[in-house]
Amino acid sequence: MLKNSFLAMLAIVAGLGLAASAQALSVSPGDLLKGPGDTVYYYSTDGMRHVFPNLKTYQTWYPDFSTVKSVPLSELQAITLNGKNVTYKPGVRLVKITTDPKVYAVGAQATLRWVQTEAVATALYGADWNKKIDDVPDAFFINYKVGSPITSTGDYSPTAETAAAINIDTELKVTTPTPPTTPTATSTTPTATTTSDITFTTSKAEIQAGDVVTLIAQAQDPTGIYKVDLYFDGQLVRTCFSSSCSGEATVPTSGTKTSYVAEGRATTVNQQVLSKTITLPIKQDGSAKISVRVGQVQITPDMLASVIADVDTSVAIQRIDIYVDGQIVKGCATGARQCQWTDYLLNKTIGSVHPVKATVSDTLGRVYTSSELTITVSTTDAPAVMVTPAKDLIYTGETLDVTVSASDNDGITSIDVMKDGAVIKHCDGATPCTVTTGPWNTVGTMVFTGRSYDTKNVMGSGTSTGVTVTARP
Amino acid sequence: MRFSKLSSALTMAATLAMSFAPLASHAAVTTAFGPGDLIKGSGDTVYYLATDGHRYVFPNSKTYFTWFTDFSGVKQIPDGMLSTMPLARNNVTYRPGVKMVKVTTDPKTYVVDQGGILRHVASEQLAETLYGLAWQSRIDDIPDAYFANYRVGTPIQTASDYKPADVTTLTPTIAIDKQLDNTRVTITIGSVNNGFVPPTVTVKKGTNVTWTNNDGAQHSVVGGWGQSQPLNYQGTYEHVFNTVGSFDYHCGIHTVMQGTINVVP
Repeated sequence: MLKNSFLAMLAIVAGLGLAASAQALSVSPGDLLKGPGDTVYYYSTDGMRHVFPNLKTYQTWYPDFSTVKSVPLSELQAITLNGKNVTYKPGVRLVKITTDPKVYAVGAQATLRWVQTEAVATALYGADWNKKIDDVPDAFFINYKVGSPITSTGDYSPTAETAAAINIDTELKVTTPTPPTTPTATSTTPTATTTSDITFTTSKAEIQAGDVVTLIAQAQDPTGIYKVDLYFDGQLVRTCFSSSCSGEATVPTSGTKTSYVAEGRATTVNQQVLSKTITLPIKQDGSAKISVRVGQVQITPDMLASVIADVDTSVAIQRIDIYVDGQIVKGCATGARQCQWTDYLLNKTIGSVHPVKATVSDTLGRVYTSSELTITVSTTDAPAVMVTPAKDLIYTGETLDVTVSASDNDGITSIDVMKDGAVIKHCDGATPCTVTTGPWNTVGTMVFTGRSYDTKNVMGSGTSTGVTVTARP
Repeated sequence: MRFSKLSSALTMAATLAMSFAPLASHAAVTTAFGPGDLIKGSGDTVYYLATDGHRYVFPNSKTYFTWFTDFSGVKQIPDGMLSTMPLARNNVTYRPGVKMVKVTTDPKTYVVDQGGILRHVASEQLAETLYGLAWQSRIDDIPDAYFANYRVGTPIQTASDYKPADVTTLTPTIAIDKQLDNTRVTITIGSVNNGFVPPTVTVKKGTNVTWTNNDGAQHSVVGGWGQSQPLNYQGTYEHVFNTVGSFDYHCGIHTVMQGTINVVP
């Protein structure tokens, strides 16, 4: 692998005939350089040269070799070689280390972030995400550091990461060693072609505990920008001695705050401060991540109540808790996507209504809460309805069998299979009702519902787990 | 000063092309390996497995041959187990004293000191004093991209600053070169298929054994001496073995995952 990528680079560089352009140029920081050999270097503002370890790394930053300057060996040797190699431009490609099966996205400053599920990879990089992975040879793993894993799509935005990676210097984390001179107060302002302004954006508008938020600030001023500071919750995240700055902040996993304040603060060369703040509210609703179903919405006092919680595949589950009447009645910590509770209710008074909900916490400590359902205790029970799709994943263009079965102490008179509120099959009697649906052509997740009436004309209903429709590979 | 031995890109390509020759005799894949072993998977790269549970890459064969004369000590292990163990934050570097090195596009010649420290040799006379008349044949080129594996220390001013034979003798193993703590051993927890890696570890009495979960699913460690909480990704559990004997353990969530710690005096 190592050998191959290097040879590939040599072949391509040589193929472009760079040797022909042997003009001796004066070089300046920001330039791409090569000597008599084929390795390409980035001449950084730290005054040193940094190696592109392979062609693929180079291609994340530049489309071709047209701006590479050939310099004599003596000139190349005069520029100190820095041991920090150039790394992948964030967001552009997914990477994999040759002998590590994990797929990583690249974050700011060479941070590898494990993409934990295929669902997240698809959401971030499209259905052909597996064609956007480059192998990084084991020996170059040391050029990267490993950051927090990406457990849901909100953790990472390829486009925002790429936009925040302003140039190789920001990724190498080098700072320009020349501090500005403070001008005297009487210095005349140059013709005001630029106005004094700061733009400040965050990668997310709403956050959850454990989230990583990217802060991006860009400032301009007629006198020039001395530095830009990024703050999150009053803490300094990063200082850049340039007009633009990006950094990452992690939302604390413990705490009672309902919102956090992020700030971008620029200091101009004449010591003026420009500042913008964004308030990021903590997201409470997790109904897209976790849902609950109840066995029977209406039960008699002598019947068991049951609650099932289902968690979306985009969550890396640590534990699921089921709440009845505000109390945890069941905790599941096995990592399974489903948690089920069946027991008698403590309060079986006729007419009492019991709210049920579930929460899931992921491996980073973020908690998502489902929407709430109720179980009612009554003199007569509602039929228990189970909706069972034959598969939980189908390809586009395929059909799907859905079965609804019902049971009740009083006897079942009818069963309906429904989708989006419309009855697609009606069956009389207690026999399970099966229908072939589809073909389904829209990629996404769909649920089916069922409905049943007992002999006392009390209605019960149920919902299936989500069925994923995915594009045919 | 500038040494005349300047390498070309072709030399570099040739160096890299001389990849690790596949083992002459295809030894059987084994799961009997432990800290301090040389390991490889089905690919050609060879790794040093350290007590910290990390794999250290030999970036090229020249680096390998400063430590070992042949590949007879390399064990081939299942690919799944190999990939379970994390790569180290740095690679194996030249064994101190064996060779001098030069970076492809840097005219300076360096000697290698313990911990991958490069020290500039200030003159040809000094190089000759240290490595003899044929000193030029004792210089290896390091590709620019591997310069990241090294750090530059203080230059060698006089022959008494650095004695090649002595630094080689004082650095008999990669563990000593990397200054790894041999009183701690780390075992990596992989998926249900890969289990605990390495599955059997032999340690000295009094060793702290740490388990690190490198899998997305939860796992735990249940042994006769006690048990861990369920460990999330990157979660750790440790226990100090003060009694000589053989201790079996398993994952409390997936009981098929089993391992053994042998404690010797």
